[in-house]
Formats: sequence, C-alpha cells, structure tokens
Amino acid sequence: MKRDFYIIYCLLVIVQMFICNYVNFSPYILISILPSIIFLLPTKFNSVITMLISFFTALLIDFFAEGIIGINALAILPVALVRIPLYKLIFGDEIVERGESLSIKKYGVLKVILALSISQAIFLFIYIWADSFSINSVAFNLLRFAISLLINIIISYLIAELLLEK
Amino acid sequence: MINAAVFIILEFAALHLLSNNKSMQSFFISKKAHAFMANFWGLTQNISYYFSLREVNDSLAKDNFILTQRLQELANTKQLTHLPQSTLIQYYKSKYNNFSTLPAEISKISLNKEHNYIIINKGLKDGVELESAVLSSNGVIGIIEAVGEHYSYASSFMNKNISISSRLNKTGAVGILYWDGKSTNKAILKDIPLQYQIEKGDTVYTSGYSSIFPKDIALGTCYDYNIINGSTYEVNIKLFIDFSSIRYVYIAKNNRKKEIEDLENLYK
Repeated sequence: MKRDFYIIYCLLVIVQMFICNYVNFSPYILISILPSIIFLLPTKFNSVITMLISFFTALLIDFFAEGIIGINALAILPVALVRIPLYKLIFGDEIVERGESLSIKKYGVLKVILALSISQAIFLFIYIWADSFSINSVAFNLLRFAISLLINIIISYLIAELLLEK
Repeated sequence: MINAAVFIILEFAALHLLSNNKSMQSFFISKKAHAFMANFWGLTQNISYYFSLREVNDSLAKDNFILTQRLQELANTKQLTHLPQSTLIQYYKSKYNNFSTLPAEISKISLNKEHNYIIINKGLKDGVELESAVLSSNGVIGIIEAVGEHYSYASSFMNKNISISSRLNKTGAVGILYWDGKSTNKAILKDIPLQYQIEKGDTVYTSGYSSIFPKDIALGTCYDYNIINGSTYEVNIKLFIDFSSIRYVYIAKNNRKKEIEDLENLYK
C-alpha cells in the first residue's frame, strides 16, 4: 500500500462528494468510487473495522453531498462485509493472513478487475434498488445498473492504479 | 459471528436513517449540513446562474408582462359586463387568499438523483414553515421538509416521494402527478378514470385538494396517454418548468393549514 494512502483516501472521498453534486451525464449513469476505495483498504483492516470505516465515510458523503441520508451507507456495508472473503477467494488466503498489500503487478489486472467488478455490482444493485426501484420500471433499473457497472469498473481500475503499489 | 452482528446493526441503522429521511433532515446536524451545502456547493451554482442570466432575464420579463396583463384585467373589471365585479375580485382573492408568499432564491439544487432536493436561502428567521409549498411562476417546485435558521431543505418535485393532486382543464378529471423519474421537465398524471376523454395539449392544473399547494397553478400540458391495466389512464405531461434552469422561487404557506389538519384529526 502506498505511504500516502490515507491522504489519497481522504481526497477520493472529497472527489466522491464532487461526483455526487456535479456529475450528471444521464439518468442511466450512476458514478460512484466509494466501493473501490473501501474495497482497496489495507488488508490489515478486518471486516469490523472496514464496516465501521465504510459506514461513517458513507454517512459523511450522504450528509454533505448526497442529500439522502443513509443510502450510501446501506449500499456500502455489504461490500465491506464481503471484502475479506472476496480477497481470499480471488487472491488466496495468504494475502489476508500476511496482511499483504494488493498489487496489480503481482496478482494481475484481470483478478483485480474481477474483484472490483464484484464489489461495484453489489454496491450498485443495492443503491439502485433503494433509490429508484418503486419509481422506475425494471427495464430502466436494469439498464441503469448495466451501464453504471461498466463505467464504474473502468473508473475503479483507475482508482486501483492510484491507490495500489506498483 | 461478530462480523454478522456488526453488519446487521449497521445495516439496520442505515435502513432506519433512509426510511426516516424526512425527519432526519430536521436534525440539527442535517441543518448544519444544509448550510454547508448551500454555501459551498452553492458557489458553483452561482457560476452557472451567471452564465444563464440572459434566460433568467427573458423569463422575468415574460412574468412581468403576464402580471401586468392580470393587473390590467383587474383594473378593467367594470368593462366585463358578463360577470359582476365582485365575483371577479372574489376569484382573484380566493385563488391566493389563504396563502401567504415569500420570495426566495435557490442556493443548491440537485438534478442527478432519484430523490432530488433543493436548498433555499430562507429559513426560520424569514418565517418559513414546514410543509410549505415551493412554487415558481411556471409551476410547482417542491415541498419544504426541514427549516434551519437561514436555509430550508425542500424535496423537489423530481423526487419519488413527492406527488401533486392535479386536474385536467377540459374535463376536470383529477389524478396524481408524479415525476417521470428521468427528465427535468416531464411528469406522469396517474389514476385518471377511463370515462374521461383525454385531449393532447390539454393543460394540467393543481386541483386545490391538497392543503399544501394553491389551486389552479398551471403545471404543464398533455402530450401523450396510455391505458394502464385496462382501468385508468396514465397521461404524459410536459411541464412548464425545466428544473435545470430555475433560480427564483416563492414559498407559499397555507394560512388555514392548521384548521384543515385539526378537522382531519377529528375524524381519524
């Protein structure tokens, strides 16, 4: 993990607040970097600590940017819960047991993208369900999910490049 | 085990916050956040307002023209022999008599969510009250849900929790108007019974059946309609307002709201 990880983490949270307020390409596109910055937290943080960090980070975003209190917190907690099991499943037990940093070079681009995709999918599914399930048709929500997932995977990979050791 | 317990506790907390979002907005922390959002995010809103000054000026000029015409009609009521003067004056008085209005400006508006909101630069000190209507010269903007000292938080009409009791002008059919969930200037009028004839181009007004919104506020026009489940019409409405370009609003408070609520509570 990069030495200035925590500074970059704080800056990315602020970036997420800017995204909440200003990014509005289409009602079908929902951009969120929150799942990736939570997923890429150091492996030395266990699930409980990760859930607490993600809960309060998400609440901060909800209060000061989203306008709807609780929606980001609701969606990010499952990502925080499955983070460690997902690491073990995709990257092996050693990375968690040794408290190793995730590295794109060591584990490969595809594995990192797969892990980020799963975390984004969980977040987006819950967020879109909580946000617009009863107002919009199933087709609209599915399309919103698919397009948002595609865009967020690309952005998540860029976040990974920023946060992880080369 | 501990992971599951922490997860359940925090998830329930998040769900509770989300489902009680309306009352959460009135917490003192939320009010501080509203002030922050209005001052910080509102800075860039001011930049976009600067670049839309020409449209705002044109819109204000149009409003002035319409108001001048109405004043002229009032002044000339003696010339309208088909109606007694007192009836016309009563009409204009009754439309807004129960409501007191306060001009305001939008400090922050969200457009990119399914639950959009507005922060307005008037609060308790200016006399704003909860559940007041937020209106513009082109229609309904939203409902006040939390009031701080200097700012108020309103749910925009572009919000799945907001609906407006509305009527079609030609038939008088009353339905519920909802945002369509996608655009900044379209809505859907639901629950119109099939016995009514829907005409494209017909204007939709507030029905006056709500204690929040004055009656007969023009909202938009009908451009299409569908039959839903063989039992009601769903009418597609193009709103007169485009939420992406509003700035000046007014807050309308129903002076008889308490009386209406007391009556409703009597029979609950």
